[in-house]
Amino acid sequence: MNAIISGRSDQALIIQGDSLWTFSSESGTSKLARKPGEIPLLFQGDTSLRFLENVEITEIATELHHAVLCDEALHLILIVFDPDLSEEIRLEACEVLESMSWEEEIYPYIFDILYAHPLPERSDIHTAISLCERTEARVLGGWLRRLLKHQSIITAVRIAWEAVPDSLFESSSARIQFQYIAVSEGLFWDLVTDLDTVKSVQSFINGISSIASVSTYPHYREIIEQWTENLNLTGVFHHTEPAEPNSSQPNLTDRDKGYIKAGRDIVSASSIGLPLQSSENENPVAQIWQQFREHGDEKARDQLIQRYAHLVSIMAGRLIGPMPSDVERDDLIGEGMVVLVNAVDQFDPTHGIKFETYAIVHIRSAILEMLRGNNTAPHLVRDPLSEETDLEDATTIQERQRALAVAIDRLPERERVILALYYHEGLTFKEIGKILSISEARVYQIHSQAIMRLRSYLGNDTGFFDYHRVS
Amino acid sequence: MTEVECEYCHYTFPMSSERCPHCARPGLFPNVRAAQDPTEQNVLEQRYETAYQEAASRGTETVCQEFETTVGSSKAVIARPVGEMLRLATSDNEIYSTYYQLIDAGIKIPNGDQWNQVRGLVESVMFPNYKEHIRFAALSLHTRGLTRYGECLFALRDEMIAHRASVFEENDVVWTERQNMPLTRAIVIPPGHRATWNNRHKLAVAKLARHLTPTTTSDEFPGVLLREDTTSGLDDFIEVHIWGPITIRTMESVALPQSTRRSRNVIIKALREKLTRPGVHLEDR
Repeated sequence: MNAIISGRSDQALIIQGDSLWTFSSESGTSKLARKPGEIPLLFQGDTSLRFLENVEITEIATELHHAVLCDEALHLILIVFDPDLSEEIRLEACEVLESMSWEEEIYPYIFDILYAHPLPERSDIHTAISLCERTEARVLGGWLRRLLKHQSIITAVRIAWEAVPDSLFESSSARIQFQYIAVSEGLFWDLVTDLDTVKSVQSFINGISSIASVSTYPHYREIIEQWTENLNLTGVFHHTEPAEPNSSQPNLTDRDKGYIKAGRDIVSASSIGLPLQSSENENPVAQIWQQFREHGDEKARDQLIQRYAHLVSIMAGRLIGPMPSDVERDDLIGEGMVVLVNAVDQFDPTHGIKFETYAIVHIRSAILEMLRGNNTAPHLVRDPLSEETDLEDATTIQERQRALAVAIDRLPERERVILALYYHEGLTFKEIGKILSISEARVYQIHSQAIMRLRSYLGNDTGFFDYHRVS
Repeated sequence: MTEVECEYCHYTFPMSSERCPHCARPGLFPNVRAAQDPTEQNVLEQRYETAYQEAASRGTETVCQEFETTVGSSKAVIARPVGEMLRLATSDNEIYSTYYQLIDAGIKIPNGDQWNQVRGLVESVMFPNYKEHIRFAALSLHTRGLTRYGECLFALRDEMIAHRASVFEENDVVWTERQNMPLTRAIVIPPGHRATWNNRHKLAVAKLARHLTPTTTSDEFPGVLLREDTTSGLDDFIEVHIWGPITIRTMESVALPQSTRRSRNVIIKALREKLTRPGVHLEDR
């Protein structure tokens, strides 16, 4: 079946043949028959609908739940900023947003939007930050401090965007459409954070081609180039100071320092945006691996490091999001690059695991270890079983783990990889999409499909999924 | 930004606006002009007279008169979800409008045969001619509404919509389907089924007098005027078409729900504060 999702209206419209039904997030999946004439009433005013093709009802419910949460989170963050509202309500909005910080994709969604435009004059972010301190909303507070710190760059990026000539777009609505894609794909966020950390737009430009929704857009390269060229006019490069050496950096060997420098150069300089090859087109990568392993070819080794360097960039960006603003992304990238280089050297393909899965595990662990040294590490790894340890005896858990492992082994490879990246590596759907060169929506679909498959393999034992928001 | 005062409703709005966002004036309001067409009015008058004659023959003329008087003070009521209600209530707030604009993309239907049906719906039902300017409401008594379209119900102020609102027999597309009329842009609706806002009582009598009996009481009138049934296809109401935008200044009263979810309740509390300031009357649902 096909479906249209409106988070704002809290409605999912299901289209199956000539039949139309809807349900809302509050009504569960209890469906209500609809007439075509009701559509204007259902979606009145919502122009940001999502269209899903060939999906099952549980996937639609997941998408709707997610869309509604995102919509509510955006309302809540604007409530937090609104000086016209009473402190009591703003405080409560802080608390609720903090409690939503564990929900995947919520913060990236709202901060992708907040990074696409400087805060309006009436926004009261300083009070918002102090409210976070009062309510001990540490995750939200960290994001807001970073948002405040980035305001001058956000303004420059916005000005540069506005200066992109209309002639590069097919129409004014095409411009709005492209802006929508740029916001929802996090391009504003990426550009601002790259300017703040690596002081370069090159990695941003290189990374664009791996985002399917952008790279299929007419003239996208000219638009992106014009946008980043316009940044020179804003003087943003003069506003960004070179990063100070981090006094808390752990003792590093000369070799490590060399890798860190090389890593920063790679991340900021050139070809990190190359998408990983999908399973349909693996020959070039396979050849490079073969060249490296069989002949110890240094050039092939460099190519591999460059090809996979964006994994470090993604993981550093992912983990630094909720961190206090004194944690530098540069340091995380440096740490991650050391691990990536080692991973390339030590990877053994005969174990039947994809390199990106192998590398991400180690990069993530190393970065988290470094952050723990700063006592700032988040607890991001999802573990469907962890919340049950107090309730279940060890034997039951072990049995479940075995059953789950068997069930996961039965999944198609792509579903296995997505589950591993999502549950084990803590990546977001958007990041997984970038790695696998597929859209975020497609990742959702494959993920939901995998969950449904696991449910059927595991019968009625839904305890496995208690954690998951579908349940 | 420089603001000017609307010469009609006296609320202020940005000078750059082409019309007042609160009352939509000045404007020509094609839906109202269509309802003012003499043929349209004559046929409606005939239906109205016939309905009264039929009511008199059943001994319900007095009840019918009482019903007509009551409907004369009916309201246009819109049901919307909490989140959208907050957007509406904050439409003139810089913080909210700035960021909401960033996620308004414009509907873009994917390519592919599977979407042909939806494409047809969107193009011929949602946006034919001036329909993108029309806001839909239900004619109602006592802030009663079609809650399956949203848990917040708001009634609009007469003086802000009377000049730009028209009423139609029922949901216009449902009506054309019931009449087995094709859904095309060239659709011609026979006269007598729409009225201006100030003649809404006549359309209500023409349509609903047959449902009144000598024992119908005034307490039952809201249910006669608007019936929310078990499925949306069985709902029955007179649809209000309002040309142009609606803002917090256009609202008279709002009935707000309670939610079991904390996130939604915070938004509802914020809504309460936002609505109280301009004097919107609040009710609990």
